Amino acid sequence: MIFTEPRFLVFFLLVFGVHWALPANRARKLWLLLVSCSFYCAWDWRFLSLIFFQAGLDFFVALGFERWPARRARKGLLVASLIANLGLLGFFKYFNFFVDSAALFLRWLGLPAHDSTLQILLPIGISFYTFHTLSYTIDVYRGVLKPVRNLADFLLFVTFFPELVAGPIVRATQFLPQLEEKRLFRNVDVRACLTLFLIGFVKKGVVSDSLAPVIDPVFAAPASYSALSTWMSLLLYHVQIYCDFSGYSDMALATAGLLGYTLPKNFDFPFFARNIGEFWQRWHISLSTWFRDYLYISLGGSRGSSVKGVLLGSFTMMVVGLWHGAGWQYVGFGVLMSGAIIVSRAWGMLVPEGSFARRALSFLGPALLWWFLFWNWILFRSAGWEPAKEMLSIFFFLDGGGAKSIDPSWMLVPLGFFVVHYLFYKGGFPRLRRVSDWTYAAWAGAAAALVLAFMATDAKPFIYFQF
Amino acid sequence: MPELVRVPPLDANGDANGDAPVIGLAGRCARVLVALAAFTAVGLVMRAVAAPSGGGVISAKLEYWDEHGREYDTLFLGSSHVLRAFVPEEFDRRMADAGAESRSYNFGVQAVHLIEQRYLLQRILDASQGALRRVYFEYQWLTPQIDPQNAFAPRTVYWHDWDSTELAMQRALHWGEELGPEFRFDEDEAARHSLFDLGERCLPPGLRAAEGHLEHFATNALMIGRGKDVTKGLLGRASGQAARYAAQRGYVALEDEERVQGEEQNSYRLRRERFLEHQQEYLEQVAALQREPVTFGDGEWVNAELQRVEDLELVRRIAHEVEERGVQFILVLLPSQSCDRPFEQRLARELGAPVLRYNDPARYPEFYALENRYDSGHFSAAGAQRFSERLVQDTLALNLCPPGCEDEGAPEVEGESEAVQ
Repeated sequence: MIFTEPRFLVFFLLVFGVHWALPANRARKLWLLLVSCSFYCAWDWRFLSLIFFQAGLDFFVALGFERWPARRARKGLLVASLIANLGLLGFFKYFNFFVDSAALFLRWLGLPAHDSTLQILLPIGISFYTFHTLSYTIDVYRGVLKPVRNLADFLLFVTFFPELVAGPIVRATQFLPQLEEKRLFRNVDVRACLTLFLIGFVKKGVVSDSLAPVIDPVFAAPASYSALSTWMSLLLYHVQIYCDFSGYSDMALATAGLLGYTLPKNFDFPFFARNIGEFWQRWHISLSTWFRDYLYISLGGSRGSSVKGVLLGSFTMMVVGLWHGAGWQYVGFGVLMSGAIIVSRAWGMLVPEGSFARRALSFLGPALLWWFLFWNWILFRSAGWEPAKEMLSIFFFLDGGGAKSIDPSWMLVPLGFFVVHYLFYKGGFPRLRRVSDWTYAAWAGAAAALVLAFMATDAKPFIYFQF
Repeated sequence: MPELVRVPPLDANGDANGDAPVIGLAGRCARVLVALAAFTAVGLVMRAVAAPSGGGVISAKLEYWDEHGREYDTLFLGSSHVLRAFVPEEFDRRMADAGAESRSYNFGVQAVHLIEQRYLLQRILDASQGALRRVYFEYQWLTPQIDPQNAFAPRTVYWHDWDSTELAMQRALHWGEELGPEFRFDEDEAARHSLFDLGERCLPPGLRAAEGHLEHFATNALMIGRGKDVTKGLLGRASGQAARYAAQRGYVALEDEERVQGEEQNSYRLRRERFLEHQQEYLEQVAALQREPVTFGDGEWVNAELQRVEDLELVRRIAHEVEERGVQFILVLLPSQSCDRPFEQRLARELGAPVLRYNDPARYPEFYALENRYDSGHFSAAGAQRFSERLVQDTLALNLCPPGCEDEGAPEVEGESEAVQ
């Protein structure tokens, strides 16, 4: 069940109606827990037990920090939690990747190695909810947060359906305090939430899903397409991946908002970033800041020499790459990103402020960033290393000899998208905030009809579900 | 830590809605009603301006027919078998030679089924505004459930007006119990472990099939995914395909399709090559057709995943609806590798309208001859010419009053035809 499916609308109307009809906060939270579990079961009911196991473990580990306050015991509990959570994530997500890679390495050494990968299904959302629970354990360990005593509250934090399967990665310090106070409907700005949901719906249902049938065949068989079409497909993918993921985040924020909860911002106009560092401050913010706060800082990245900081930053970026998927292309993606960050930082340190080179690059920065992102998308989107190599070759050497081509009229989509995106970047449509409720109601009804008409009928799963 | 987003951002007082007055339940309901009214109004405007839906050949033909339907008096309606079998120009020329003026159009569309045919026929009759005098209707099996592969495609959605949806749901519920294991749910790994799909799978097959039609009705009613048609309607651009079909009165030979570049056309070529490679198999199927009373050898249009049912009652109803509008209804069974002789005999006996049966290689060996076939299911251009010629003979043998014969008298009938039942 995805946010753009009609059955989600039915599901949400039921959730919304009952939630606000229930008088007691405790009843509302239990209701949200129940529907969040049902939402997950709409994907695969078998893995609900895995969420409960991971959440239950961290719940009791956090209580254990209080019961056994000795430093050694606390450390032991934290390590146990990390091993269990990351072990499960590693098993479900990376087992086959490591086994395949080891076999490949052994064969390269000339040693006998048999393929023995298992048919392991990836539990949907595991990369997201594992990070939810880990943030809680680490924050309690650090003394930033007091352990929760109500298991149901903690389970709701981990399973809250708007952000369960594809983020944003919500931290315990952000969400748990919200559960203590009763949510009031008068504090919900229905108009703003509906607008945000509609915007997210357009990004996902209209833009992203409509582009998928154009882009997918090019990535599936890049050699069949001309070099120009390859470039066009990368520009389209540039728009698609943003619309897909930020559209999901918008709808998640809006859905949570309608239920009275707030979630962290995940995107902040990343395509207007001037360099790679700024891009990661604007793209999937909840992930990049999670790694910054729980990995980079934990490893001491903010202390010591700048060289150490740069190296740790690069390592963190590689882990971010691997977080996205179990494959060498994702490792490559992380390496490239970390390389770009090193270059960017070195540039900042070596080239003096106000110099011609600085000014020239600040002017060319966005274009260079896009060019860099384009070929990173190749690694990110390709089904494996081989097709990625093929497409990179077409991208750099323009040697695409295929006869197939993309209809140039598709370029109107990115053009229209960037015009609208720029208008939002410059302050959005402030008049909409000032219209009367009646005008807004009419506008929303008309906009909904238009959005439904222009949405793609074969809804695709969100791209980030696979991560 | 990323900032929390309160939707919308808080105002200076820390209150999301500031001093906004509290709206009562009645006020909220009124606003919802305004939104629904705007939704409906925009939907109605889009419906009025949208170009015909259905995709591909259907959109092109409906688009053409909406403008030129009044120019034709004879129509051939059916599947790709019809599309590749009736050559309107040949038919009209032969009719004229026999002294009966006719202007015909081929409304064949790939993989049409009985309820969709009825829907199309009603739209065709409405647009023709009384000009149509004769309809050759190919009998197609009824498919009570939607193929999951095609769910929510424009082609599957467009015919779901309430009348057709109700009919499809009735048929689905009626036949549901007999669908048995053939009606399988999409058994992919994800669906098998979804609680929602699990619940859905517990429903009886007929109810599930009916639910599918209801969802398609809602999709159609809400204009979901019709944006392209709306844009096309507003811009007033006729598709290239529409122009191509207009030029040839709906008929395009498969040999001509091959010459147009594209993936669909490549598939025709491949099909032709496969047919030539497996000629022996085809001839064996033709031989089986002469021996067996019931056989389904023409795999091209038989979807093994979907159970098909015969529906004499519905064909009779369609024939009645057509004749009520003063149009002659003629049922045609085209040459194919499938037959159900007992049902065909019932059709001929109980339909109450003429039935032309050509799916018998013993009677019509020329229609099964390799030189007249493009592939196992379709005529070649030469085969279509011969078939159209034959149809004229049989039409005349029916001794029907052709269009315009009120003034001139009935044409002379040359001999008896074996096809006429």
